[in-house]
Amino acid sequence: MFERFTELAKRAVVGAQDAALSMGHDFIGTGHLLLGLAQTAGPAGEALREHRVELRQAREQTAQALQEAGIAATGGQPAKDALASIGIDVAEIQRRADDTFGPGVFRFPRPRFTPRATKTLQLTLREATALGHQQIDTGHLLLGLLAEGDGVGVKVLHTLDVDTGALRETVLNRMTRQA
Amino acid sequence: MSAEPLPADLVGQITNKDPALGLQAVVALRRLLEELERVHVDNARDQGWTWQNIATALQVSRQSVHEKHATRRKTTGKED
Repeated sequence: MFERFTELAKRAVVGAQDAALSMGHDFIGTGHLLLGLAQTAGPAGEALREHRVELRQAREQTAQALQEAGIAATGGQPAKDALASIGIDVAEIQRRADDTFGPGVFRFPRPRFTPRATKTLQLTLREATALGHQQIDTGHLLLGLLAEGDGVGVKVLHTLDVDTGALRETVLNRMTRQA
Repeated sequence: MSAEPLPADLVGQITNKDPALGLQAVVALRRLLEELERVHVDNARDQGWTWQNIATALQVSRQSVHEKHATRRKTTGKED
């Protein structure tokens, strides 16, 4: 499905991964997707800014929501420890891979989409189909996030007093204006 | 760097009776395998290997290796 993503939509997903990594999470959840959208240009970022969603605050609220849900920001240490217990030194693999392929090519554990984030991506596709759009842009991603409705991303929006129904209207307006 | 565990220690760890520990290691290992495959497939493609050559080396079908990696490489701009 990513082959149908616009450059901005891809950038938002990469931004979500970067947010996850920098926060010490080994997964990409709906909260990280929201952060990726908030920091990227395009209809989603514009709509979020119009509703006064500020990146720094959204980041704090995402970290807090995950912490409250009992999800630790471990930077993947448990997975590394588990491998150490069977004699595999991930730090050594990292060192050799960095030497051979360049820094950052090998990444362990590479963050993966949570089930809710995967659902969000499926709903994103559905939003694009419903609008008759071939390309998937940031606006569709935000619509998908809102449609999923139950993840950390939407929880953060509620905490920031965002009217999600109104946000949906705003992003739809911006998308049709653009088209 | 941590000291290399003695073979006896290692055997003890691998055969630890706690299923939670053993299963956690299996999951982490699977994830490490995925990452290593990704790194080495990218390296092979960058060095001009065909999908068929990569599939043969990995002992899987060309179709499965292509499905798994070609779209990802296109999406991340590593390949046209």
